[in-house]
Amino acid sequence: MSCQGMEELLNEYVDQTLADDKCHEVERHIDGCQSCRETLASLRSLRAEAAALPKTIVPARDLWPQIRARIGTTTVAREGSAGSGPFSVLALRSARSQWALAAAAAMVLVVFSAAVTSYLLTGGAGVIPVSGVSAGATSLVVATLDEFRPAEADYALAIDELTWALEERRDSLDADTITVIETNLRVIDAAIRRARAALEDHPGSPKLARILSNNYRIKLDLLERANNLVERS
Amino acid sequence: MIDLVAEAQRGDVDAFEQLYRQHAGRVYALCLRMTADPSRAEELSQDIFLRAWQKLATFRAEAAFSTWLHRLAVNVVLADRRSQWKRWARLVLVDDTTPFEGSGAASRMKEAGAGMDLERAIALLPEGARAVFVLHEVEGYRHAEIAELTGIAVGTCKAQLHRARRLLREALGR
Repeated sequence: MSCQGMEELLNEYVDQTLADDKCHEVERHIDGCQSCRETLASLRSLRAEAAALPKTIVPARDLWPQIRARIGTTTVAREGSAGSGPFSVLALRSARSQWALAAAAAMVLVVFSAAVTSYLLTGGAGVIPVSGVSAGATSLVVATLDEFRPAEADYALAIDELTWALEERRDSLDADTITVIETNLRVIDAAIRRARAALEDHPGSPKLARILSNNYRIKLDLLERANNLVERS
Repeated sequence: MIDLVAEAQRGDVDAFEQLYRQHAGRVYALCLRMTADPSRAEELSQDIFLRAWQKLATFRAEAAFSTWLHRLAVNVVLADRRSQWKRWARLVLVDDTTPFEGSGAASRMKEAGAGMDLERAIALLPEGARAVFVLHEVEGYRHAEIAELTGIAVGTCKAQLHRARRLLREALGR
């Protein structure tokens, strides 16, 4: 058992993530402490053994037949084609849903662009009319892009799940519908990118963080509604 | 030499099968070590290759296909873990506050007894510690990369790694 307080330093030492002064501190300590020398050796041994573990493990059975069956008639999305983009194989049949999705995406872009412009022109003094969120809505705690990253990771995973679910439940290819969906997603993604860039340029702005969060929620809403429509089709 | 990736991007399923044969072991190894569940690892491996097929158009030749596929695999595995909890719950990958002493994981590791090899010991780690250990020590990801993938703080990532190493050393009698 190593000396109290040394274990963390020893771990960082083997990982070579300690500052020079701390490195010297560790080295001075282990010069006179056999227990910590043994711990250090044990950590190095463990690291080496883990790094030497086989990088490949053969599955107990061949998974290709099931993969091949699931690929089925799925086509690989190709750049520049009507079927390219994240929803190359998504089919929605309701014309009304197409309009609703297009309208939602357009609203996002319009509202966001106006909001950011207003914010920047007023030097951050103006009230930002965020779509679907009143000025009195619950404030986000975060105000910088770094602070927003954990929430962004959550959004990304949820978006990923929904995207995956839609791709799995495709019924048939419809080029026009695919185009509408992909267009909407590009609009929303562009809005998200601009919000991120704005927040990066203006850290410490809860309003911009709220805009970014709301844009993600709109994208999620779009994907959830698309999933629901696919379920009903 | 045939460019299998280019052929697969043009819709050649046979070419994609060759890519599968080349990379299945690596993908399965990641899934197995992260889940400690052979059955789930097989399911995830299938999901990963299906996702790779569907996203082939996004692959750019600037990066190695193996790197691209591995990153995709890590994302799928981590997403699967989160889908088991509430969608909006904070990531529990590393906020496991169960004390080591007397925890289920520690008991299982001790019960496994002497002679346990490292693979077995890794499989018995608590989920959060296991994920960070596998990504950092076996797969070679840096803390900053793991933090970005999982949404946890770098400090928390380091703490989980240190915890994993302590548990493993105790289980292996070192």
